Amino acid sequence: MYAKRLQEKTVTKAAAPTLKQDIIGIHVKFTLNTPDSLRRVTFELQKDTQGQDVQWKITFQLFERAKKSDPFSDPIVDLEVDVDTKLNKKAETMADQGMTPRQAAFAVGPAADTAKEAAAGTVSGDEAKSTIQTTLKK
Amino acid sequence: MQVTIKAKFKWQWFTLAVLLAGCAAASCQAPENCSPGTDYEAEGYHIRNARIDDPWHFLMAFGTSGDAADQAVAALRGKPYNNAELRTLRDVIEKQRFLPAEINYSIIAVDNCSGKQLNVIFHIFSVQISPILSSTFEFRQLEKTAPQEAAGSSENGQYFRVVPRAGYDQTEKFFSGGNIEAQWPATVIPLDSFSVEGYGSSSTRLISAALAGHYDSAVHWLGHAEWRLEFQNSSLPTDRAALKQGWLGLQLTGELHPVQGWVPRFGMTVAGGNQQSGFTAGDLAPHTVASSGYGSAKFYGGITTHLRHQVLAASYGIELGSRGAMLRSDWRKHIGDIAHEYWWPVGDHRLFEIEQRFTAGRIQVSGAIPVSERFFGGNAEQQFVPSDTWKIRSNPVIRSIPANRFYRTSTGAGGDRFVSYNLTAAVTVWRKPIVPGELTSDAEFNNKLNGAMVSSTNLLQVAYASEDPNFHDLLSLLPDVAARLEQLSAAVTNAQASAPSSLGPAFKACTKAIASSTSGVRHARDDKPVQAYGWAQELLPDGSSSLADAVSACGTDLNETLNDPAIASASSGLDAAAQQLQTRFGLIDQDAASAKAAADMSYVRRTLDIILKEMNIASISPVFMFDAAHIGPATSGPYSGTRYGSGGGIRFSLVSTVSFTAGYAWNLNRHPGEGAGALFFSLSTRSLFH
Repeated sequence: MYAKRLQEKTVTKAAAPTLKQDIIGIHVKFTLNTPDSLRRVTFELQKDTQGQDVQWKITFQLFERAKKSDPFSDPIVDLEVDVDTKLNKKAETMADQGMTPRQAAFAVGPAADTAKEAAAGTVSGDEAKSTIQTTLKK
Repeated sequence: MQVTIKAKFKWQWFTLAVLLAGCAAASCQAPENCSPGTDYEAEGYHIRNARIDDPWHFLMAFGTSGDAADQAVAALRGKPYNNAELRTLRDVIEKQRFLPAEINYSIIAVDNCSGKQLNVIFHIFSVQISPILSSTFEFRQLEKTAPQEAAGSSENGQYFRVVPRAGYDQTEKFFSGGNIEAQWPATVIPLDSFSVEGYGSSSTRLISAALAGHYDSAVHWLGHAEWRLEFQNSSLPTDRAALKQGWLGLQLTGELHPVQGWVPRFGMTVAGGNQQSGFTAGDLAPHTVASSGYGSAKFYGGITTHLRHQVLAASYGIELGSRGAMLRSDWRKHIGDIAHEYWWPVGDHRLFEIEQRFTAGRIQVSGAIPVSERFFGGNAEQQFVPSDTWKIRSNPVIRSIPANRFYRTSTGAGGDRFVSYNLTAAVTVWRKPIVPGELTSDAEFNNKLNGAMVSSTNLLQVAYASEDPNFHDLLSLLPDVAARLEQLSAAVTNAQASAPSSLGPAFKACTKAIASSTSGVRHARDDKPVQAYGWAQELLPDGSSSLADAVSACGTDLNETLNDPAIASASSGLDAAAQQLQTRFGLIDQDAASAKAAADMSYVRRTLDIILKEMNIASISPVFMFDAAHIGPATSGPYSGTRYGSGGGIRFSLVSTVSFTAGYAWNLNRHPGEGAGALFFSLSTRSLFH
């Protein structure tokens, strides 16, 4: 009886081995609504792996509305930043450990405002991208 | 026995040989792990199979057109592995499957890399949870019956639903009907939902319509509020006469933020209408009328908590009622209701659950009361007020007696007091989890999910810190800081006109630092507090708009050579203001802000844990029940008002589509005119067009 059970177990194991998955792409998107509900920031971190190359990308969107009863329409800022590979480790840390309070404050304040000014043409797009990447360094 | 084993042994070898032969013909290979770091595209891999793992996919069972994501993924089979194509496809899947939630997460993974072929898996996960509502007893019911709503993953803000309903009860017979619900984003008028409910049978009928609105705030003292205008018309049978009523009521309820895990809540309802019955005068207790117009005001309060393995709600309500339009307080009805649920995991996604409810009621009559207002018990629950988010039971429930048949007292039909206790125990014997184990045991998934939770907690901390009085004091210092920056800027501009050109780089660094700080101060002054907080932080010594940098670049680096008294004075003034700012920022109670944020998010974390480890799409549980109920006034003999019921049944739930409970409870001390027990059966189908 025991031999039979053992054999069945072996056959089952051979038929369905546990396969480890190799993760080649990760995308985390957090939506941060300010408590007054008038501003929404979406901060996305995307990691793509091709062989040994790892590329992180930050997507930053800012939505605003005048009243809580209004719907959020199209983002007033929509920026995509390819993270400098020197900051890959910081991007990984932020994705795993979350934004620190300082990073969160920077994201909804300076990063959002600078991106908004870039959309209005008062600061350059490069400056806005640099400011958004600065979130990782905070 | 030996012969049998040997025969089976041979048979298995034969099967293996056939499989191997088949595999050889079909180039079958043993599964093989993929090596991380492999460039699958450059090495010429092909896609053997592709699939999407999406725990909320069952939401699409009804009412949606073909899923483009599934079709696109199916089309990958047999194609060469191509990174760009997979990323494009991920965008398609996310567009289809990401929900309007706070946390969205997707990963692309590959496995089984044997024979230059591999499988591609797209994992998708979305979640959003209200910290206030997730702390309530009623939220636990939502976790069990509609986890997609508990997780905030049903479509928010706007929907139209048709929810059929059916059931059987010995009193009400087979009944059927349903709800139609519509929700839209509130505009100028603070109403955001409308619902119509109706069901009926040969002996019962209920029609109701409600217009409702709600309010939520993460930081104000009132965390959640609801208002509701409702009309209801019903006819509920007893074994002697029907109880009919029609009323219009306005209801207001509010919930505070959790205090050490407990949510205090309160509410009031004002209603008026008429209540009629077929009881004759001989059936009625003294000071009781069969039919009458009425008006009532109900006030109620309570607390509720939702811990990791139990939920508890305690509520008290008082109704002041009068016949006719005048509020004379002809009667006062008191209701106390305590509901408790405890559940313990007994295996992977298997729970042992105990539900208990203790309810008591008392009516004091100073004038006269319509009989429908008195207590009628049985295996159907009546609510003190109509609400989905706060349920206060207001009648004795005993499942061994059909609905509204537990009402005889020594003075007449309908009790003026009752006590009831109900116990239900269930254990999951079969289940299909919502979130697959592959995902919940994946370290990468858990890390990223944790990261998203930490981010949300820290943003809440920033929001609470921006409400600290010291931060508001800091904001009041900013006009002075701006003035001092202007003075420094003017002094630097004046000095630059006569300065040697060799100081050009030092002037440039100084004016750049002034411009950066000026921009930071302007934003901190003009933005709303939560955004201003980030700017104020950057004005501190290690910030990107640091005032200390302006003092250093102008007052120290530049003026070391220049020795301009105006720059020295302005720089010194700015330095003093910067230090004041820094001192004020340091006084912000970060610990309190952090504790508030952590308390808010602890409910979200707990609910997420339940979604990942306990929620099932479908489950089957045997159910055991025991009830005890007393109705009064009672004497001995046929009017001794205490009954016991015990029984069992089976619960099957298929989340978001069907919930089904059936069983039988025996009346352990039956009285004349009562049955041996009662069969109960309920079936509800859900969200057909959601």
